[in-house]
Amino acid sequence: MIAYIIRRIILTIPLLLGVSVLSFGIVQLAPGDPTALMMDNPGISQEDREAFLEEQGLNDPVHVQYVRWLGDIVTGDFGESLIYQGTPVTELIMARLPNTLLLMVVSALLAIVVAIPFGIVSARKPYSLTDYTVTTASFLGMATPNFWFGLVLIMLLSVHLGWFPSGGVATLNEPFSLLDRIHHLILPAIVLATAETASLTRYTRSSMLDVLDQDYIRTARAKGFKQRKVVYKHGLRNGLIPVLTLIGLMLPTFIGGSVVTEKIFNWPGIGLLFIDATFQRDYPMIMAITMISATLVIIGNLIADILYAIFDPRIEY
Amino acid sequence: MASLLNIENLKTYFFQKKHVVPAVDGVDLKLNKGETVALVGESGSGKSMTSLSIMGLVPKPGGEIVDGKIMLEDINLTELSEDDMCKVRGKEISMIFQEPMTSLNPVLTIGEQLVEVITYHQGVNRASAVEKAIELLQIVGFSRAEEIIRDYPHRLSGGMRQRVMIAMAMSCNPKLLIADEPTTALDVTIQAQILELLKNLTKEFDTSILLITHDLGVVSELAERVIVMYAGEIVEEAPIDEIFDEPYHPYTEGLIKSVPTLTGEIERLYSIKGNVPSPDSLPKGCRFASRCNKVFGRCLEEKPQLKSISNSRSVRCFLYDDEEEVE
Repeated sequence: MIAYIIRRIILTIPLLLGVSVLSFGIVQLAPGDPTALMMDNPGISQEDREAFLEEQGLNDPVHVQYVRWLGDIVTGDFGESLIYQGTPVTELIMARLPNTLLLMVVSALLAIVVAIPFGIVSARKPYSLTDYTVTTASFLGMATPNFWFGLVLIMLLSVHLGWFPSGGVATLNEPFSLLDRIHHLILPAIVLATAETASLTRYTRSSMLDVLDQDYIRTARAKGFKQRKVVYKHGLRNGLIPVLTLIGLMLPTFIGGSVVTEKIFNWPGIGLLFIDATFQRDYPMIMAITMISATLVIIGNLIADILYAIFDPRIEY
Repeated sequence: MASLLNIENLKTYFFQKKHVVPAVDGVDLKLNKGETVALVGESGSGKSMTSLSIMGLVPKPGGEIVDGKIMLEDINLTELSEDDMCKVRGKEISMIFQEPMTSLNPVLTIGEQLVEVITYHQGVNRASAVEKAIELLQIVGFSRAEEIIRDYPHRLSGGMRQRVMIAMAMSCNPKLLIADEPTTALDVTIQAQILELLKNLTKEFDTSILLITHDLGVVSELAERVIVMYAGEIVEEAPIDEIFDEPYHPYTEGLIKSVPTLTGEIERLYSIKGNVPSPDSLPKGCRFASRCNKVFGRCLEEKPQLKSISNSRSVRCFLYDDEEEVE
């Protein structure tokens, strides 16, 4: 098992290298450069622009730039932001990463805590009223775009009813308060979790339905166990094995979703930072965030595989 | 001999959207203490549904016992609540299934699956349940029982898993063991071992067996009495030493003729033509009529009744209608 984990970690190196080559290339293909917005400022001349490009090495051929970037990365230097001049990218990201991670973890827990019980209830009484209600809600959840759902929630619950703040992580100019943080977290977390909750519910339902039909469930019933024990002791653990994989793979969706959600709720996380960096062609920032996301995805997959081996004795690494 | 199980006029129907399917249609069955009775029939004859009715495990929604009594000694199982039935299942009546490969839970150890049923029904603590589990595994023929209890099912072969199933079924000294095609999924040499094991265990524990099978070889190995089912009904009942030599019902005769023998030089194996009629479109007359080679006019018009020919034999066929209680 330990050997397997080490092997997997070593394998991530070529993977991350591939990701970096691709994203570096794609980012450079996008038209414009970091100076485009600067030119709106009448105080900056064409000469200043040329000097800036030369100084940052942005006039060099792409492969030269890439190798230089890679060399810096290896020493742990992600470079300085081109927009917030002089500030190291890592500093900007580290200031915001906790916000994003908080939002993602809370949403993931919310999705798991809601989806698994509803999936089980649905599977225990398939084609009942409960099942149809859960199923309909799931399809609605999957079909609703999160930017729209977010705006509707803001309109109803923040603007009209005033129950929740419409954005931000905390009320400005007030001392830290846990309650206030939670209050701000609720809407973004719900929006980010909705689609995943929906598909996780469907997945749990079909997995449990499949398991409850298995021969060993009949064996458990033939032993005289009550339905509850049959479902939870013999069914659940088997039914959750495939669900685990999905939870591991949820991470990339959350990273993508958090970009949109953070924008809507003005949540100061790396998603918001990423959007701004993209619009302003802040190359070092884009690359750093991409690499962090890629690493998170790989970690998510690794965790899913490890959980898999823990829950299913048939899997040995 | 004292009677253990007494089924009277059992009717288990399936209610589908458009029609009602009589899977078990008026079955009477008696089983004495320590006796082994085989319930024989093709797929779809209702034999498995009869056994699930006894266990109270008729698939729901849809399936339902609509009529009849299932007396286990002096308790009517059809009238028990689900909670009370849970105390009977696995304790008084236990069951082993056709598919040993998939009948054990893949994520729990063999030991856990044995221990859970022992602690549940016998109220003993875990340590003594583990001891009992090891002892049971030794009885069913595992030499390394202490190691096996820590193993997961996927490490065992089909034959070994069926032994575990048998150990589990026997763990609470049941009065009745229902064996639903216990050897069908195993290869021939393992089949013989499992049958031998069942035979010895029933003697040792004084357990009755209701053996559900379509394999007449298995029947002759284990059973004392044979009950033949066809399309949800019993068509013939006879002691084992008579049925092979002198089957009464044309269906039984066909079943026996379709078993290959070692001595007979048969060019082509006999087969009963056609299939069991679908339970939702049963004919008016005898249910076997369309496949019977001795069919005559009355068979198509009228439904034959199960009729006692002697005190140990009965048959549902008009061919024997005039023979009033010989002997």
